[in-house]
Amino acid sequence: MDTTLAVSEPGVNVVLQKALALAHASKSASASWGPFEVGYSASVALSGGTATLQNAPANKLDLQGIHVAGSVSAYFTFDLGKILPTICIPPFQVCVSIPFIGTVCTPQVCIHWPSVTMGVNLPFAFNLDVSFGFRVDDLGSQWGIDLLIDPFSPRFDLSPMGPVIIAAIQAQVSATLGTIPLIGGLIAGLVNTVIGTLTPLVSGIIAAFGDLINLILSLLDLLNVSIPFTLLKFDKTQTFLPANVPLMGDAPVNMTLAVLQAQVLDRELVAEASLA
Amino acid sequence: MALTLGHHVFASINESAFNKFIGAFRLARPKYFFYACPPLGSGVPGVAFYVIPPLPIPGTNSGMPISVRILQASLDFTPTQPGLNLPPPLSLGPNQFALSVDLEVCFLCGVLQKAPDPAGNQDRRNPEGPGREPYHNDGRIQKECAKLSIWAIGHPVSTPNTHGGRDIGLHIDHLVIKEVGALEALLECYSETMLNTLLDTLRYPVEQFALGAFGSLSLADGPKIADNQLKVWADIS
Repeated sequence: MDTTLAVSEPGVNVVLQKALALAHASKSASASWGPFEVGYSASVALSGGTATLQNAPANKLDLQGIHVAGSVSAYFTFDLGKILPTICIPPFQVCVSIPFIGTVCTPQVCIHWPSVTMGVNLPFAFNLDVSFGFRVDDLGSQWGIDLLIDPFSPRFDLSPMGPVIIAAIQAQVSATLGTIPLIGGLIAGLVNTVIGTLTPLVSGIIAAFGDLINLILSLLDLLNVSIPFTLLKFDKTQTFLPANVPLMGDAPVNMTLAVLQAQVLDRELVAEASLA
Repeated sequence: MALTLGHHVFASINESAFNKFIGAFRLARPKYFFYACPPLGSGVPGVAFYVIPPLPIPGTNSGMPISVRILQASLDFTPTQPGLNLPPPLSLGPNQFALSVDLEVCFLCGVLQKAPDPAGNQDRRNPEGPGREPYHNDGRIQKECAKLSIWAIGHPVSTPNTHGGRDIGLHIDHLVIKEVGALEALLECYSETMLNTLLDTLRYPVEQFALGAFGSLSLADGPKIADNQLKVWADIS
């Protein structure tokens, strides 16, 4: 081979950290769980992690401890009228029919439950370990040394979000009901009714948040299992001397990288090329 | 053994690639291999050959057409390739390259061309005096050529460039021309200057290698010649 390029493990880490710094994305979705309509968006950013190289024939790059951090912004909308029972004060109304006057009832006030809209921000963070293989790809005018990620299943636990969601809704419902006159003594029970309706649904809501985070991760170039991530690119036409240097009218002196191959040797990514 | 030696990036170019580069350079810029007065050049002046003034004839404002053509040039990085017989006192040491060049120098005898007349001479010339025609060799025109074989050794260099990076290149330290008698020292001096000037045009900005592959590359060590390769080490920042 005419030329050799080797990148050390620390060098690969520097290149990867530059790629990770660009790896951020967000996406949104919405769905209903019982009476609760939830619009939610998640943003994810990657950082950190340490790359190690596995020599040929494995030719692998292991990237351990990538820090995945972000947050889910969720907006809950629910009509308390679909959750809480109808409450009238007094509970019973007595009506009598009086000749020549008609029906006359005792006074009664029934409460119209309002709708509640509230937002909650739910930060999350977890670490991810992934493994890549190497492949040289013809990118048209360039050669690319590409990383092919092995299929992976990120493991993360969003269950701590459950109590946060419940507490936020509890506070919002309490505040909303607190503005309604005559029901002061009933508020605690009413809030419990709302939370009792919500609690069995929380795990499903959090699972949907997890699906959205997984979807975002799969959209990040570095972690996409379908599309190779180009770690290093080399122009096939290498201009060794540019045009007009040193004299005006001087033609460029170009050479072509005809063949490129790459493998891991001595824990270095070694690329060899032939010039034509 | 690891190639990067504690740096982020190692890059090497084999002597075979350098010799391919010389071929590509000759193809793209033939004029740097052929310096001639127009009667001796062929092709488009300034493209196929580098136009040079005639060799001045002392006492006149005329000169004799001359050409210098590099017929062959090849590089050998240490260790010495079998078959390369460097003439004494040259020997290829660590971190050195050998260059062998075949030159052809031609004069066009019997032809005189107007040559640039230095201003100092014009000031002293008597316009009333008799003009002196240069000697004309009885109208016979003859192209006389001589071939010279040159061997040289040198070392790699790196110099700051205008882009804030460093250029890597080659510089000749010692050059030998044999079988030219008393002219040896003169021709060696001239050839060394000419070849180093040519090598200066071949300097290459190291950070340009695989531009785009890395964010920013800075030369950390080298260039060094060993194992038939020119080697550099760089760090990514």
